[in-house]
Amino acid sequence: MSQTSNLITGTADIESWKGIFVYVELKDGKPRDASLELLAAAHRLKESLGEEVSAGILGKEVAGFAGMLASYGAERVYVAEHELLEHFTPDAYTSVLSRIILGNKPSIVLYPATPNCRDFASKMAARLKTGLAADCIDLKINEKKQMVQIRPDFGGKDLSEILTKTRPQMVTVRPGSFTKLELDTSRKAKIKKVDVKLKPEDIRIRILDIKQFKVEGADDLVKSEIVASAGMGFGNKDRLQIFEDFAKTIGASMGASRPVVERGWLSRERQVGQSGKTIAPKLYFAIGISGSVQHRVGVENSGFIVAINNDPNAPIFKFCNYGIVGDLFKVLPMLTEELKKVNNKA
Amino acid sequence: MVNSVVCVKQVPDVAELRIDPMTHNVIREGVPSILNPDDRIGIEEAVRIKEKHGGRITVLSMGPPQAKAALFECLTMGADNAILLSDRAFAAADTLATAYTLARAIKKYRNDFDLIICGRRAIDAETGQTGIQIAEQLDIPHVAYVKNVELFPEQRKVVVKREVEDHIETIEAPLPILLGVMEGLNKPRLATLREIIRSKNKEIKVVNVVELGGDLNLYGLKGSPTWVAKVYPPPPKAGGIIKSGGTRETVTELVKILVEKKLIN
Ligand SMILES: Cc1cc2nc3c(=O)[nH]c(=O)nc-3n(C[C@H](O)[C@H](O)[C@H](O)COP(=O)(O)OP(=O)(O)OC[C@H]3O[C@@H](n4cnc5c(N)ncnc54)[C@H](O)[C@@H]3O)c2cc1C
Ligand SMILES: Nc1ncnc2c1ncn2[C@@H]1O[C@H](COP(=O)(O)O)[C@@H](O)[C@H]1O
Repeated sequence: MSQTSNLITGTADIESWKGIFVYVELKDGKPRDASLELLAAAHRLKESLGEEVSAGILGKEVAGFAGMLASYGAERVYVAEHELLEHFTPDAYTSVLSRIILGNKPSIVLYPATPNCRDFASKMAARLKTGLAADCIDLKINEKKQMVQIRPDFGGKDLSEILTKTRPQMVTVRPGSFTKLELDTSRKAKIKKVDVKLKPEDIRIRILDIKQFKVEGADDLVKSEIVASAGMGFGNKDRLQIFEDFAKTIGASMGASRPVVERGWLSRERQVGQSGKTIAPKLYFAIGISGSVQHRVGVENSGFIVAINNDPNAPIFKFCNYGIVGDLFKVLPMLTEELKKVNNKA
Repeated sequence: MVNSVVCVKQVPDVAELRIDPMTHNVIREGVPSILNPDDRIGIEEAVRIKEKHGGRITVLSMGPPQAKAALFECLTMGADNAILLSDRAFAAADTLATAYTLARAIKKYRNDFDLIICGRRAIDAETGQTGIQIAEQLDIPHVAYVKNVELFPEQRKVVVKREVEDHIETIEAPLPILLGVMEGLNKPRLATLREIIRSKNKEIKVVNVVELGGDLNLYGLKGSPTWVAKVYPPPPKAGGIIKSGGTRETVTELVKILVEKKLIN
């Protein structure tokens, strides 16, 4: 553990770290959108920093993706290919990526906040003895040229801005927080092949088997054009009947806030928000939901947001398109009735 | 014999967090503190392993003195002893400084461990980083997102199932190892009255920074590479229509808008 003692000395040579680096994760054999979005985020940071945007991709055979990464904004692509990188293992990936980072010293490293990347980035941060802000929803550069890392605060009401004293400044970014750049095949990148030195014994775990499974239920939630979510305003499980009637009438998939799920009123895969699903239906209903930041980040890209809540000061009214201040037990059945009239006419 | 260290955190029961309708601040008073749910799964797994293979379970936590309550609960579930790292110097630690503190305590007090078990994430911050960073600092491998554990102590190995998104990996790994466990691995037991009484004789050792030793610059806020510079409410989005009263009139207006905007039918 003696190696840990130079932790804060990373601050001594801050000036020598330059550039914005995006880690490109593969999913089903190709770069996943969440990583391409980060190239757009990197360009936003570049506007203030003026430093190079690079991307790193690790895998068995991945050189073929370099052109695509260039088209989405990478100005330099590090390609690390090796048999032993076919599947993600923390040991192999940390060994290879930490060498790339230490060899090139970018001041910023972005990872998508996917399960494997959150695992990987945690180990990377401990290896490099630097900070890692999890699940950020926005990034910017301040007047001191530091990266401001924005994430929901745990109290539920606020956003917090995190800064990192050490370099590189690392974050995982919530998928969907940025929109990827237009594909532009005229953009070109410098390609750098990384000399990967890996031996089987460098990887302390062994993957014996990988089984795909179908993710059950709530597929509808992400795909649906209309979603209605129930919150604690319903008071208890037995009172959800009017919610189900409403959802059925309007043809909505049912979602829920976290406490509703925690109490078992609706199943876990129906949770919408920071630690649940991120959705962007054309039409979203938040019924008896206060509108905490954690809920907001999961739904705010919806086309049109309707809120029903009896507290005029509920934060949900700060980001809805149409809000009804009233008792949901009165308003919701009325709304269902009116919708039935429309259905009957059609 | 399999010796385990289980890292547990006492967290506010976030399901009970409410926003004060008058002041719009988060009400923290009266919010009960609980044993982090994933960590309870960790204890349960350690106890099952002990029942099968023997060994000793130490629970370890860093936190304020009242975290003793969470540790006591772990003892009633079958852990043998508990250590609470408690000192002002540890306060305001980010995950790296927390991992440093916990890793140092493990080395100092239970260096004979075969297994370290952490939760996938603590429900207060949900970073899911701490366990993995403990493993890196102790220079041992880790597996995160563990949903099944099978131990082979004679062969000094473990076979686990790791669930990510849409696939399950079966992984073989040597001991010692750190596992990050999650919901679905087991169903934690309720302590029996007998265990609760018996646990009163078990030790909860409280350790401060002087006793733990190490580099003072690596603990707490000082040892944390990240810090919170600002906290503020998210900016409101302009242009929303807000109607009070919740009358039939409002409801028909809403339906009309939805039809006009072709959001329904
Ligand atoms: C790390 C972390 C991750 C989280 N992830 C998520 C997440 O993914 N998704 C999520 O939703 N939350 C998440 N949360 C929790 C979040 O902070 C809030 O606690 C939660 O969203 C509140 O749920 P709610 O709005 O249903 O309940 P409350 O905040 O209790 O709100 C209930 C609302 O109902 C209204 N109401 C009461 N009675 C009536 C009535 N009769 N008619 C009309 N309105 C009524 C009240 O005015 C109130 O505004 C997370 C928290 C943390 C710390
Ligand atoms: N203060 C702490 N004391 C003991 N264990 C902790 C502490 N903080 C985090 N952990 C462990 O690390 C896991 C992940 O926590 P987190 O990184 O905060 O999501 C938890 O489930 C615990 O097992």
